Amino acid sequence: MTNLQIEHLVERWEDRRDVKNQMGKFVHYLLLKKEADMVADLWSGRDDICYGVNDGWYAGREAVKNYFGWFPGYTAKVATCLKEKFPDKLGDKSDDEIFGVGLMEIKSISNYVIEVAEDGQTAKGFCCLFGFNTTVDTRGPISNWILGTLAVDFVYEDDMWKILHMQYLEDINRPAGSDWGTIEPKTYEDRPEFEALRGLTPPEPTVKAVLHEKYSGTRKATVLPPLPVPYATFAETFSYGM
Amino acid sequence: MAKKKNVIRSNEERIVRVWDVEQVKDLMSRRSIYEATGRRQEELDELWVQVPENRKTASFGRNWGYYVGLDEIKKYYVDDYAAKEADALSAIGKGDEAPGYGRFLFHPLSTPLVYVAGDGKTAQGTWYSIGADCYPEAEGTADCNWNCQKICADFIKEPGGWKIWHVVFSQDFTVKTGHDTSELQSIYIRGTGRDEIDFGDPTIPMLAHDPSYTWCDNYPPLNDPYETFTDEISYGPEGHPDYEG
Repeated sequence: MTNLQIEHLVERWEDRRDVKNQMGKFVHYLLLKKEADMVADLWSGRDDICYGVNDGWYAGREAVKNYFGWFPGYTAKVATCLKEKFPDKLGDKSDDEIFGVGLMEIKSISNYVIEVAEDGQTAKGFCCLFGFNTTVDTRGPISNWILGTLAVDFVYEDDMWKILHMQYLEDINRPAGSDWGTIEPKTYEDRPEFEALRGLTPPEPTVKAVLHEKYSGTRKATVLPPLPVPYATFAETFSYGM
Repeated sequence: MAKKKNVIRSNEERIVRVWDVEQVKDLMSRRSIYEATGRRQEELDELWVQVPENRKTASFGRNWGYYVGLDEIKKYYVDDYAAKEADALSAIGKGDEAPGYGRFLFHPLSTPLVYVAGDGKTAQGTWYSIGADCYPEAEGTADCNWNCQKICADFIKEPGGWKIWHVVFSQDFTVKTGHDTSELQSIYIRGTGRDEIDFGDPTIPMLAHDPSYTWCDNYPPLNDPYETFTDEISYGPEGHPDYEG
């Protein structure tokens, strides 16, 4: 093996590490409620980026920005609502200090499968999601277990790996402490003190499509995006995008 | 300052060993996705050993014993599983449905500990998996369970690259979702586990992992750095302290 070949292997190993780190950053941004910075920090500067969820695509830069850009307003409103409910605990805190209070979006990732293109310009990552998401709405705070997968295309831009396409697919999104096997999820009553949160829902996908059916006792089968396979250039492999 | 090492390796050897660990982790991650998506035969064909000598000694360990040899593993893991799944679907009036209907077997791996042998020919790894096993029921509901298990494996480098040689799933517990773990039965009763009921007798029946009282039955043990593979450290049946081969 020549020094050049050794350097090549080291570089590819570094690429794998960096891609894995970038996937980790994505879920940490969700946890830290940093959606406002998400697209600028982690995503490609291209206009054709896309983000897929179970029921469709946020297609293009504006759609992805609009989607993640919705969350800071929601997070701030939840904080205001909780500040009113708990004045003794939160009343003397500034809006910045309590930004994110009440929300806890833990989506740890594992089970990585990563392939870096031979040309070093793109990479593909696949991993499993496991965690829970605590949101607050008119019913108060509710925690759901989340099990699912992330499938991502990366592109190398400005000396960094950036997200080009991502599919965030959930199999399980069910209230913690409840049986997932029931046909309908556990329900909760509205609580008047959270009325200010009525009508707050994120933007719908700009392209409606069934990317992935959540698990139920009548789902046909577990179908996931294909695992990455070794490839030379992006043109010769499949895309996790639309 | 460079660390003092007992073994001096060239940069070439070092990067190859770094890649070996990556490939072993990748292999096991792929395995869990193949399982989740019902690609069991493909898993055996693509991810497990193919060299005839290694096929004979391949093993799949579960709490209740070992399936030994790739033909036996196929019988248990592919053929018997498919037959039992078809029977289970018929029993709930869904005999016309394709395999995978209403099932969700999701065992993502985390907490990897992988060592490549000093001779570079084999590798050993330990992972933990907190996952889910869900099965369809007649009314359209499902029997959903958490599944917590340690997974250990031996790997061997074949002409086609790193392959799975021996695997042990040592299941600590399953508990229905939404239920308290205090409802777990404290003593393991042979033949009562869902998988154990579903599958046929192993080639070597034995209590490989005892989950009673959820105590720390240290089988399979954590892998340590090693120079060359021996039966004593194998995650196949030969490495079990109670093996009477």
